[in-house]
Amino acid sequence: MTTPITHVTSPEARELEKKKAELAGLEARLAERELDLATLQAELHSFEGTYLRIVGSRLAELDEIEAQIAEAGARNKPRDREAQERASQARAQAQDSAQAVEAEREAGKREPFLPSENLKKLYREVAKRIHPDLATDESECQRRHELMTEANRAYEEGDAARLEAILRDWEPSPESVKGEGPGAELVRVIRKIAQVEGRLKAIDAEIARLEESDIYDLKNQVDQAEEEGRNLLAEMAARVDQQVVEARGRLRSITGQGATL
Amino acid sequence: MSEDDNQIPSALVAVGTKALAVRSEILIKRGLALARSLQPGDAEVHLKLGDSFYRKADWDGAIVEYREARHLNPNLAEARFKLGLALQLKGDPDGAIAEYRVALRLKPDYALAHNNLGLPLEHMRNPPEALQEYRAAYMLDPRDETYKQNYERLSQQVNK
Repeated sequence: MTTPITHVTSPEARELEKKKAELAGLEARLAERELDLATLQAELHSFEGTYLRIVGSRLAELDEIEAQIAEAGARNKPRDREAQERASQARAQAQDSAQAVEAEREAGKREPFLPSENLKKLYREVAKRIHPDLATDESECQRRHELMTEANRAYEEGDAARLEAILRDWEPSPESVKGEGPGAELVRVIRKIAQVEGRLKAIDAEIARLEESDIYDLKNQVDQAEEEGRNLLAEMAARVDQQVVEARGRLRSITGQGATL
Repeated sequence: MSEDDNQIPSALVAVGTKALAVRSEILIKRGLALARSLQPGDAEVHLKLGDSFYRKADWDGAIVEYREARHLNPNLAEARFKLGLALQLKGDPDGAIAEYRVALRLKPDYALAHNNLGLPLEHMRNPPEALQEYRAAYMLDPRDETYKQNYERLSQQVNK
């Protein structure tokens, strides 16, 4: 009769295996959620650029004419404090609008954000391997942070080569293997689980915040109109153009000349 | 790691978020208003717009859109119901009751409208009428726990 050979494992080692499996599941979910967040941010960023170029620039032009109208009104009534106040508010709004549009112009034209499956896969992989919440010491966390920032930028710019390079060059620091025995390892895994769970909650909150933003709402309306065969941004631009023409007319009637832009 | 580390790490907030900053916020708000004004006269569109305000707990915005939906299709029970709900949350129980009643005239088996109508009625100290509405909701959908609880709770109070 032979005695079966059994591999005796300590309770710590068994618990460690369980926790490692739990962590692996959470890491996969974290990578997926990071991808969701990065995608949503990039889509909104790209849409915002498009909106500012097509409609925002026209609104800025309208604001400039309105400011000139208000200033002309204030010049005609130098003692009217309300007229002075209106002119100063209109000028401030025109400046804000012009700055917002100018900042967008300086950032350069962005193409609509349409990430390929390969790009998403690469980003997911980077998030899985390099995520700062998987670090257990401060300096490692910092290093991962910097790389994730770079990865986020590469993802938004559709730069697959850069994401590949980040993955290729990535080497976990010794912190990931230091410590002795299953007990120490168990503590580290439990700690990572808590960190990953915390980050997942933060991602959910950030996605919810973005989904409640005006830019998200606006994008939804534009997308919905597109599904119905309408180009809502073009319709908006046409409406503002109409308002610009009307405002120019008003300015001309006040000053006897057109707007100086 | 401190608890603060569970907040969104700044490095992970992608470049995109920066563009969502204050500088263009006003232009975006104006764009949103403009987009809404260009929506076709479709009650469903305004219902959806109302829902987006509702999700942000912007009752005033939701009321405007639901009213527009009601205006475009006065026989749309859902618009009446949603308007009633927004009015109720805004603190106008009379307005809410009026809308719920119309919703129920248009759709008598609207269990949720029966239940919601019961709420302001109960708070306006009309428990028998509220009970009638809770009962109607419960009868229409006996599996709904909220309807059941509301009906049983008020039923016990009334019959004390």
